[in-house]
Amino acid sequence: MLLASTILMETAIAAGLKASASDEYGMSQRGGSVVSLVKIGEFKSPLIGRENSDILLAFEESEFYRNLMFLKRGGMAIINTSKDALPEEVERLLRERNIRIQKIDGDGIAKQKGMIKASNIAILGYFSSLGIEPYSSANITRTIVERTKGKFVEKNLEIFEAGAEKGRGK
Amino acid sequence: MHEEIARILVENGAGLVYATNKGVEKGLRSLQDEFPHFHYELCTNEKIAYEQALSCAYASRRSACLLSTEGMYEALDPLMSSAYTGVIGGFLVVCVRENDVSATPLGPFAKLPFIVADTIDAFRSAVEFGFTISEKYETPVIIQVAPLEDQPSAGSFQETASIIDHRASSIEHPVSSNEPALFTKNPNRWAATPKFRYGLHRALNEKIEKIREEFEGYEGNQATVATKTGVIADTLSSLEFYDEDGSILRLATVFPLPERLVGGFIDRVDIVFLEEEYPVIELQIADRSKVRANKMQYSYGRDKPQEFMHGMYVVRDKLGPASSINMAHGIKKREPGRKVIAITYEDFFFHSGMPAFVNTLYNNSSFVLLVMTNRREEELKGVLRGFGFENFHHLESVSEAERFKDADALTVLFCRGII
Amino acid sequence: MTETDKGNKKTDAEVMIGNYAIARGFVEAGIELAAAYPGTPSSEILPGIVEFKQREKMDIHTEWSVNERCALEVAFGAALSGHKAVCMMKQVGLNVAFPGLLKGRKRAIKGAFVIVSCDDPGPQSSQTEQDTRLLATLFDIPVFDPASPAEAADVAYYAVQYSSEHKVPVIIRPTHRVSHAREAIPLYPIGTRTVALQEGIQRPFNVQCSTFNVKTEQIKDTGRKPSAVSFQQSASSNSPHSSGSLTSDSCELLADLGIVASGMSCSIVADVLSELGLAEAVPLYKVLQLSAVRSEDRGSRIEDREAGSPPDASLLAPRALRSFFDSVDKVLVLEETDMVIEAIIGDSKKTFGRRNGYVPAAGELTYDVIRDVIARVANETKTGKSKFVPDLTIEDALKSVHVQPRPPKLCAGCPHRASFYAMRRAFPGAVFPGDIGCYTLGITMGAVDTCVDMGSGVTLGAGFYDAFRSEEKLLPIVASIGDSTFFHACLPPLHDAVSKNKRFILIIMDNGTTAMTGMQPTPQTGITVDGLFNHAMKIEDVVKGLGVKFLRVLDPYDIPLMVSTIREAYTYLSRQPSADSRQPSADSHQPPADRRQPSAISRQPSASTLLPPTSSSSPHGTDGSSNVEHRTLNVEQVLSPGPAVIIARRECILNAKLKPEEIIDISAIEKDCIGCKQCIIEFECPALVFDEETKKVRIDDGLCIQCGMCLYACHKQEKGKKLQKQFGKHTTKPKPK
Repeated sequence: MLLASTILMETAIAAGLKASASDEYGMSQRGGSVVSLVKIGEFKSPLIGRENSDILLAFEESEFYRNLMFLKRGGMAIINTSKDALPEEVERLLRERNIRIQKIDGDGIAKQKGMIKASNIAILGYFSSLGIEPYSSANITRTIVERTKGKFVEKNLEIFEAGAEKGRGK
Repeated sequence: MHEEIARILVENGAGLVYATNKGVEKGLRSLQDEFPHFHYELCTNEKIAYEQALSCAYASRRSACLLSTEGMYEALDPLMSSAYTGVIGGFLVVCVRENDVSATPLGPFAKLPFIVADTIDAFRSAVEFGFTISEKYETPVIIQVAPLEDQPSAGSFQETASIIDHRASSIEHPVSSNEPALFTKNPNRWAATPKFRYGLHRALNEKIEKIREEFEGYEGNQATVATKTGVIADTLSSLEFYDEDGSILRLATVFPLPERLVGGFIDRVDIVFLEEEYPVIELQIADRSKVRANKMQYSYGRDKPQEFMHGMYVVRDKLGPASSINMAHGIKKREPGRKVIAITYEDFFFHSGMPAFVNTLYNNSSFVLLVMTNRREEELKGVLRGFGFENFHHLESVSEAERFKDADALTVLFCRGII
Repeated sequence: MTETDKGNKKTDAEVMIGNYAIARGFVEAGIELAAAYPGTPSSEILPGIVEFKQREKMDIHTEWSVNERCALEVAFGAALSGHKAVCMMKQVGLNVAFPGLLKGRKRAIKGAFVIVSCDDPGPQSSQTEQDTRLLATLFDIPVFDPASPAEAADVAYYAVQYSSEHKVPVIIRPTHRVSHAREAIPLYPIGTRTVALQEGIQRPFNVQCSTFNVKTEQIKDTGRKPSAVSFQQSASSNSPHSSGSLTSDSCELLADLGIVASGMSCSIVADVLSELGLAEAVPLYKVLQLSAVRSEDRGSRIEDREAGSPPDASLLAPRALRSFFDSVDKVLVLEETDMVIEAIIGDSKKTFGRRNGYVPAAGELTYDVIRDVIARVANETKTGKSKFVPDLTIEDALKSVHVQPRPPKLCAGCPHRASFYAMRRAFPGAVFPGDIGCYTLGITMGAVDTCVDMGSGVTLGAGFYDAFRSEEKLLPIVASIGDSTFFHACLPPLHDAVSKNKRFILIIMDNGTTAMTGMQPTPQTGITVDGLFNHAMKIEDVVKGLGVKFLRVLDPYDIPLMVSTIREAYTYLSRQPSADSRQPSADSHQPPADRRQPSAISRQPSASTLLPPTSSSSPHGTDGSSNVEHRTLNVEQVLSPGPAVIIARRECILNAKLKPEEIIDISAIEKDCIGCKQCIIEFECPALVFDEETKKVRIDDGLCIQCGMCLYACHKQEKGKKLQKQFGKHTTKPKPK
């Protein structure tokens, strides 16, 4: 199972940075929550506390709410949602905490390309267009190619590119 | 002796007692004549005994299981889990010390109240106290007792008298061990998933503190302060020598530690020698600057010279009942060319040998397994057939095993007796 | 300070989880045998060993053992006989395996023997938060506590050598955060790993204390190049390499507050100290190993009591730790999951920890928890004025947002769901002893009442029978276990229950795999971890071999058949002569001629509660008790009336897609919905979603596999109506608010 956290980690390492990740296992297949953490730099542990995180990638809107307390003031969030606006109180909070929020319909993009389960890749594609080193489109693409097996590579790259286009378009 | 233990349990209201030692059977059966509603059962292994007794305690019935100290470790998995779920009916886990293995480490490891009794009277008090604590705090309670035949003879006349008296009173006023069962469904407790286990853990920690307070006043803990040199031990009878006129704290409740009692004792002396085999009391003492903990070491024992039988390398149950099967399998996986014979006993096969045998079939190794039987050869054969295995042979005497010394397929031999 | 003069021998680095890092360390160390039973968080280690052995073309016997005790005894047997062997399990698996370790730990090992026991703070996926280090400390077994995946690889490599050198079993205990963390792990050719483990004061605290090195033997292996391993400790006085001497008497005060930590907690502490700006003010001492066999300590363990001998606590605590402890004013101890190092130190007056309530005594030490504790203690010791103030406006803003709780559930289409539904339909008021696996999730359907440990489904079934035996009517007891669990823990208890005629119903939920832990194969399939096949065995044959008389095998998707079979089993059991309340004697294992004489009146079940069996399609044996051929049965064997066993067999839907003919049109669920929510309450399929706006149930296409089971649960559908009519309405759950 290729996790988004693995892609992010390996891209950073390939770029010469130190990185480590922590994933929660076990109940995820039975519909439970999955949260991954990726830390890049001279950290000793892959774990974080409240309001530590620079970036929050939420592959589902409910996960965004569940993990919002990890995002620091001035951080950035990308949410997989087809909505234009989140609830009023949340939008206000994000403004107050100076959080840059980006909404993208990853499900829609993946569905269009015929692989609904790959909506995470669309989000990563979008993320890659934001110019945050080392997460350029080229770098992440390279990792995906290296780690994805055979027949899925093409499709994954298509979806990734569609997400990236959305990002460049904005 | 086991009969005495069982009697005391029943007199204190235990309705069901589960044991494993065949030697207790006669005693338990005669108790049943006296107490008609009393259920006792001998189980194939200790885990079965523990879990059945535990379920009765879940169903609000006072129960007990009676194991050896070594056998306690066979029930380690349910022991640990049951500390979190707790019980409703009183549940005493009585372990009898039959060799040098002590079960005291299980007190702090499992977080279960642990009382050591070294005389029959101490055991009686412990049972009464134990059931009270068990029901008040809804937790299993462990009582470890030494073989009572080893009691010093001084005072035994008194002891006999008290046993007789007690019996007389018990016949007149039989304790009912037949209260109705009641199981109240509460899956967040009895079937707690990890998230709920966290809450149970917190509740367990609180229980232990309250029980600690109860232990401060337990009569089984006896402190005598005389000289400035003190000794703390859970059983005086195991000490090789001690100064009877010195300061002694005979500590029955080894977990949780009654801190005021122990701390107070230490305060009043200049140096304390702590005698125990494992650092159970030691690790609970908060300040050990005055404490010298002497671990009673048992010799490591010399390994016997390697046995051979008809040229086959003999593997015995060195790691526990039927462990020879797993060990032989491990050896054969690395040394397929070596001729190996594993030797076990029918009781041990039923105790733990079945999964081991399945493992051998599943993971594919071949050796000769010699099962020394008593009466259950046909039953064993039925079980093996159920595994899809038919290559077993009956031997009239062990010497016939020589026929199989070059067997290259997994082979099971049955023979009556003991070797 | 490393000993190697071989330079940097690594070939590559690869990103992998901690469990794979351990596997890598073992394979590089030249192990010959690895045995395990799946258990989160340890399950990935064995597959890692398989992968690396294939890559490196090593001859290592790897096996999924039937249970942890087998895994340990198999490995231990090989180690006693001169081989390097390892076994892996989760921490409660060590409970199962422990008797073998207890009995054998004093035997001199000729090869090497390492046990990996993965602890689970939280707990995230276990029934206890027990601390393997405590068990090891109580029983004098060396135990390592790696703080990161990279360290875990080195520890695994070192532990094999350590065991071999000292001839003792060694335990490695990672926690789940180490096992499942991911980082780049250097790979070395076999036998050449450069290991420099460090225990003691961590940088950046620049007290250059003296060090001592424990040089271990080179790997004695066939032709492999030797490597060097060093194990450093700082703050010890016993070395010729000292660059400044620091003895326990002459310790200068390093700081007001020091922290002693181990494992992932230590790694988190380092990050927290950086975040709070306390890294310069608070020295951190890292513990890596407990219960070590240290040559300089060994003599003193059996020491006689001299007046001037040091306090005994130090015999458990390494001297370096004691020196550190003496060199700071106050100490905060952070460790998981229990109070071990804190207890070993034995000086509570200057210690902040679990004993005095500063560190929580239950639950994981998360980053947040550690940050709060350090900030609090730092303030109280006037070390620093750091504080982390959480911004609670986040929680306030989220109050208005409805976030769907996501408790774990059985997958859509899971055959266990069908089984549990049938069990509740058959006997809504029964007692349901459950067991450990995916099927534990039957709790939310009201079909699992107890779950103690592996195998407790059977034993609690038998025990409840005893507890309620004096009742008039036979209590319906419907126990459930899985197929892997059956082999792991249920053979002795089922055999024992049969010999005692315990009258309960046992459902073996056979989905052909060990699902919860990641779909590992079982002995029934005969497929091993290497993908080889040797010997398969059918559960029904094993059950027959144990002497069970009432045995059915059926497809749980056939819910009406399940229901009627369960009821049939109950009828069968309650018609048996009641078991004599006296204990059968030890020789009752022989089939005595008079054993079947009823000693009490056998009870006729009352007409209102039981219906004649309505089994639809199953072939029956001539006596109606079994639909299984007696392929392997010894026909002279007397069969017992109880327990009754039903094998509910259908492959796990994560493994096997539905066949085209099994795909059902379930559109009627949406079309006919009246919003009664019974399907959601009683059936709980995650694909059934109650739409708050339309007040009706809709099907989530992304999850639904169209198994059609929900048609039984919907009271608007014929199947649901039929079931209701036959077996009575049951209102077991309160209506939703």
